[in-house]
Amino acid sequence: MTNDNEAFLEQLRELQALFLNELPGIQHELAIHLEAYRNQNNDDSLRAILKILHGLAGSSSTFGCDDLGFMSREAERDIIYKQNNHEAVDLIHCDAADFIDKVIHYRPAPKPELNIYTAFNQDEKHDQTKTLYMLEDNETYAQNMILQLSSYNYECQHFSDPEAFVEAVKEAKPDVLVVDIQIDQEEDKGLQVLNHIKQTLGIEIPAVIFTVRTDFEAMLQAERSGANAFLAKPVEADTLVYEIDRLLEQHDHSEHYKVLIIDDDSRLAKHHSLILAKAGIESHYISDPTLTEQALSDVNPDLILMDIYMPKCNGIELAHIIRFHPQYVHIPIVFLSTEGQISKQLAALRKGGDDFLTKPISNEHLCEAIRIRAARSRRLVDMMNKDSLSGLLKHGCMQERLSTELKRAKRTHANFSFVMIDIDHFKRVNDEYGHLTGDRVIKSLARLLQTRLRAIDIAARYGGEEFALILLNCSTSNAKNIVEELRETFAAQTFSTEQHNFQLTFSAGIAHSSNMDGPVAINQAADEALYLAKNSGRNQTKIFGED
Amino acid sequence: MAKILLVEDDDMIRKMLDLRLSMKGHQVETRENGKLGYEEALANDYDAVLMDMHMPVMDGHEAASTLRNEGYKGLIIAVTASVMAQDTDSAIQSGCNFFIAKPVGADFEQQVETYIESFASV
Repeated sequence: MTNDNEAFLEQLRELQALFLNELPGIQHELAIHLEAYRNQNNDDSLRAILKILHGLAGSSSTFGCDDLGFMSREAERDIIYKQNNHEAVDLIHCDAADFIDKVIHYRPAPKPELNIYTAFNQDEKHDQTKTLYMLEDNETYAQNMILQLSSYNYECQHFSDPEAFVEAVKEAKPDVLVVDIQIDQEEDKGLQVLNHIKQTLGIEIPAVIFTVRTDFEAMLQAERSGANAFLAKPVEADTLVYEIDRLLEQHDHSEHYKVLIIDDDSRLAKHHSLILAKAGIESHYISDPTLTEQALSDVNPDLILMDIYMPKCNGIELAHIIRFHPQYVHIPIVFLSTEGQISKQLAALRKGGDDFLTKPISNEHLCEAIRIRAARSRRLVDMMNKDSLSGLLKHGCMQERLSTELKRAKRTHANFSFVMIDIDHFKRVNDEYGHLTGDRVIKSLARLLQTRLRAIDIAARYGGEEFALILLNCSTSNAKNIVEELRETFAAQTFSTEQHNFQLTFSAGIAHSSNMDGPVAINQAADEALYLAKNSGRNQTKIFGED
Repeated sequence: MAKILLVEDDDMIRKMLDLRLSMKGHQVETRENGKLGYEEALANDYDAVLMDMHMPVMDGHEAASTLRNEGYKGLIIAVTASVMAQDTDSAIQSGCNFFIAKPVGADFEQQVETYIESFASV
């Protein structure tokens, strides 16, 4: 980062500090204006309230207070909506009032991080190295495991003494624990240690147990001691990594679900939207069913909530139509209706609905029902769409995404860069070191991509040693910077087998989405660029259309 | 490196977006309400005008349509609170070319840069 930019960043940090300092005062002011408005209903107070909400909505997220920004925006939106529809704004019995209350009582985290993208700066990279503490009395086995785990971005520490292990865990709180069930010939020592850590000390860390017995009784005991996963010995490093990855993902998993609400009664739709929003579920609503296809594409929801009886087309027909699209077959459709007749409810489900909730329904019930179904749907979708080895999207899914993003880019002019990456001389790795090592390389690159790319970017494994990326809102020159950094990092990585160390490189081709009329065209373009990279000596990145 | 006019009435937001864009090497000019905003847009050349659609003092929709009525052909990017078609459509109808959803995310600067590139290449 240049000196100028450093200076700006410093100023931004100062601004953040100012924001956080002023926040309590602003919240107090908001409370006063709210009180005044409730008593007198005067325009000045409402204007003051809107001004404060507007300010908070616009800046909170950048300064690391996401929730505050969200709540302020929802409150602001609700008030403006009412004003536009010439409805009374009483700020006593309405959603805006609830949100404003939350805004007033919001407390930021102790050290909120600036929510800006300064990626690919070595000093500020979001470190994804996870710490792993292992309790294992077989020294050679442990050392071997640790050697292999190191190429997966795990920082490992090994203990053979249970007491030292417990002390270290208390001290350092690693990201994951790996415990052998049998320590120093004591059959269930590992379980006891884990139980002590989890139950007695109350330290919650994902834990993997190496078991000997795999009968139900053993599993039950392990589960009761606080194990999150059990693997039967002998355990391969790859298997262990797979389990740990899975555990850590679940542990960090921020359950952010998106719901699309379709209801011709827009006030009701908005109302439900706000209820879900308060429960932390992002929701968008449309009151015109003919906009469904576009909304599905824009929002990409985890669940659809809809009313059955709508003038233009009834919900059952709409559900059926939605299911015509293969990419939306999996989205749970939940009907919300006053329909009490079981026969009609069943008919709805037959046509493509998944569930029926009858109105009136309590807010808690609605949110819980939605969240459970959205969560399960997510898990299923992930299983369907993701390649199990790399955790990235599968080829077919990527093609669908490409198609969606190309359409969106045409509509909104927000273009993206498509990148194809191919590991150089990968066949040699499988031939010389075996497929397990080859798998490890694939996993390693996949993780590199996942940790270094932004949350909005999309990564897929095209099969074999080929990967593809969609970098949203990204010019080809920016994309090249990103890919070059990835290339250099990957090239610098050393892989170890028991007898050898080796290094690898990859070649990459980039194509821009503008002027591409479909997935085939952009695939071809990126492929050509990749081909050029390979033919120019490999270990480099080429942009389509540029030599 | 682009010349950007930022029209935003909230002090904190204005300073914050100014810094964020400056950090990426852009030249940023700011105005604190819609009226001053459109006057400045007509007076000088900008690669993009960033207009908040929900300014309490002068509505962003009004400022944008006024600019278009005065014959302004430059790029106007709306900063909107919702990305649903019906809300963004009204921003586009007022004369904005593209929109960015509020609250702005970590990739705000890149979105702006992409729009500037798109607009320039048309």
